Amino acid sequence: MRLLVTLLLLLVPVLGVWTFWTAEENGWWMPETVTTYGPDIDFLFYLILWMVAVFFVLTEGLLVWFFFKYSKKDDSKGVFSHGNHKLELLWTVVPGILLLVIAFTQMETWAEIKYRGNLPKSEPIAHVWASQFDWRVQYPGADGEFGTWDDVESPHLFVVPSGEDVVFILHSRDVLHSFFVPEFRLKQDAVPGMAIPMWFNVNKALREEGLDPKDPDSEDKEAIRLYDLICAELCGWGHYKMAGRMEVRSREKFDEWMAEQQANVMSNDKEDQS
Amino acid sequence: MRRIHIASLFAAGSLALLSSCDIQAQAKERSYGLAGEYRFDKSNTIYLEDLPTGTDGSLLGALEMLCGTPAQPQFLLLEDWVDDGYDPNYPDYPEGDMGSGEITEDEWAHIEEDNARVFAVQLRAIAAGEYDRVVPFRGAPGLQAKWDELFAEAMGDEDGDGAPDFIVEESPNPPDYIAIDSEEVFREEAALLLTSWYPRLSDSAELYRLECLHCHGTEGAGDGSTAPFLHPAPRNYQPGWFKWAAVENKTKPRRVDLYNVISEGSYTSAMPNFKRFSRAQIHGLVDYVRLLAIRGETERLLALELDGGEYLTSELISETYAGVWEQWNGADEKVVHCEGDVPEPTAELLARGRELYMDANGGNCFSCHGDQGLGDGASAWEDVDGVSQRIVDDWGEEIIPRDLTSGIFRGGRRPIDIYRRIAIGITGTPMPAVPDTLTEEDRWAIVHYVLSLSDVHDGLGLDSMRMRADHADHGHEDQATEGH
Repeated sequence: MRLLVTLLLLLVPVLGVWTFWTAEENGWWMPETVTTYGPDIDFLFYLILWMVAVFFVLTEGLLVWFFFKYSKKDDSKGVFSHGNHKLELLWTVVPGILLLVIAFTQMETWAEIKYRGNLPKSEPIAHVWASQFDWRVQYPGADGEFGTWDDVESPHLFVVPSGEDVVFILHSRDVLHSFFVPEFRLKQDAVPGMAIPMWFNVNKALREEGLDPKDPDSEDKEAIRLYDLICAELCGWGHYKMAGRMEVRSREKFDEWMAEQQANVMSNDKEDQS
Repeated sequence: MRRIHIASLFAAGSLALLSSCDIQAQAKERSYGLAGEYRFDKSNTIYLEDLPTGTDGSLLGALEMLCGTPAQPQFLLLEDWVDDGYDPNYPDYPEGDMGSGEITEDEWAHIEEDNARVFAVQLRAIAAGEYDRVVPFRGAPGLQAKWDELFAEAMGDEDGDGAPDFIVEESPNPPDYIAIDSEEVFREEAALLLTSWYPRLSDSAELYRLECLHCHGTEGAGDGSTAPFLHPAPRNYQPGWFKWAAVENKTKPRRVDLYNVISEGSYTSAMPNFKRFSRAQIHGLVDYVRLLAIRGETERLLALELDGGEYLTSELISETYAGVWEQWNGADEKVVHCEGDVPEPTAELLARGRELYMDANGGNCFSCHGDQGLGDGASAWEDVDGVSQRIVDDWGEEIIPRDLTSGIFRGGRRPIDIYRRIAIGITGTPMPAVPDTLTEEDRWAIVHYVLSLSDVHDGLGLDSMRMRADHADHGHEDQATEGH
């Protein structure tokens, strides 16, 4: 019985490690990153994951061992301990050092992605508006200026060129939302009343959704890629519906799309169903 | 002892919680009912209990005959339609060939292209022969059934050699299947099934049940379970009026009008965009919304006849039904057109727009929208028994004139969308069309003036951009202070 219960408890660390170990082949792992700073985020992720993994296995192992060792029924009296100064120092200083390691390691990556001073110098491509329960992307019209009568408004679809720095400004119309594209390793809360500049550079396009399946070798392969744009902040009852689409296109295809949209605004014909 | 008390308290609590849940909800979703009241406008309402005793059953029966049930929604075919080979249940088939031909060839090409995108994963799985990876089709029971059927038949092993036969008998339904005698042909057939998919009404009813019903209700009366929490309220399809259409006030919308609302949503109302659905799915939802609207209006008209002492004869039923259909099919004739391109907003045009905006005999916009466009005009309120109240629309809901400076336009913000609001007004609301005396140029003048009210000239997020400019100037100092 004692052994059985111990083995059951042992299942926790074993299954926990197994879940991670086999996650990739089971398709549970995070998607491959496609942005320039994605690998830096992944490095931080794995750094922290390995730290956690080592201590998880260590503490769980100790727990299981102690459980087994001290659950034996005998008549000996319990020992009361008033602690061990050295031990306490150890388990305070070691995590402290680890936290400092994380803090210093992440600083440069954080600064690169989030600091406004590090924002690429290119002009913003769009204003992205989050609202309950909808993403809308506002592009400048043919006049190249935001906030004028010929602005292009694209519900759901955020189209960007690949291989260049894309700067955009995130807004919220009502409550907190969060702009999240897993493949970009980019997540940022949209805060009502704030205009938050953000950037990314998609230098790899990996996921194959949206290709012409009849012709997988077509030139189009590199031209248009789709990614999910998700709201990552519970924003109300329709939060689950707040799914958008990132469309990464070659510069040429992007300009094509943009011109189409700008013409659509100027057109008096709403027969189109785009 | 105490433990038992706590346990029984817990049990009683769970029971109370369970009983407060509406376990009948599923049943309500699966069958159509009658509207509690039949409203024409604010003054003309009749209630179910006003009808002659026992007639509500026959009304329900008549409606089921005309439009089916949520599980099997289907338009009853009129005699003339059968003769002409017209069938509104199949908008994807050509008219005269047992379809209604509403999906044009161009649009069909778009649908096929979109299907290829939506089913890309499945199509790749089929091409690779990994049939178990062709995942279930959510919200499309018809497609699922067809796939299952095709797959089961192809994978059958009648000759008992342990390998799939890939042989399917000639089907009585030529558009759907042909004989399959090799895996290659099966793959082609399976791919065609997906790329040429168009949802039948029962598929769309299922998608509607999953995505639309909780606001718009089973019968499309805008009375779903979340409806009481929403302002503006979800559209009640039953009168057949839709706000965001390009047709004359209070006439039936075109197919593309409904398509656009479902696809793009009505911004900042609770109606989100449904661009995550495929084109075929949105078309299917348009079909189903139309079914609910036609059913609702027929119901209302028949109830009026019953209320007037008439009996529901098959003649009366089919006449009413045909009359409602006529209005829907005549939508294209009611379109408010606008010739030529959108004019450029010149200073003169904007000045003219302002003038008309403030002119009581011109646009008269200021009376509700206020002289600054803030939606605070005097006419936005009415005096009810000495109390000042918001005016209401034809659905009886309080209505707030748009704050034109917000830049948010629920029916779309393209100049042509605004033009239509001004030329048509908004169906069912106090927003009227401008007088006929206004010329085309006058109308565009108002459009551009209205759009100029929300013109911020690159002022969006100006603060952050200014900060960025500052940073650009002092980039190195910044990194020094923030980064290290």
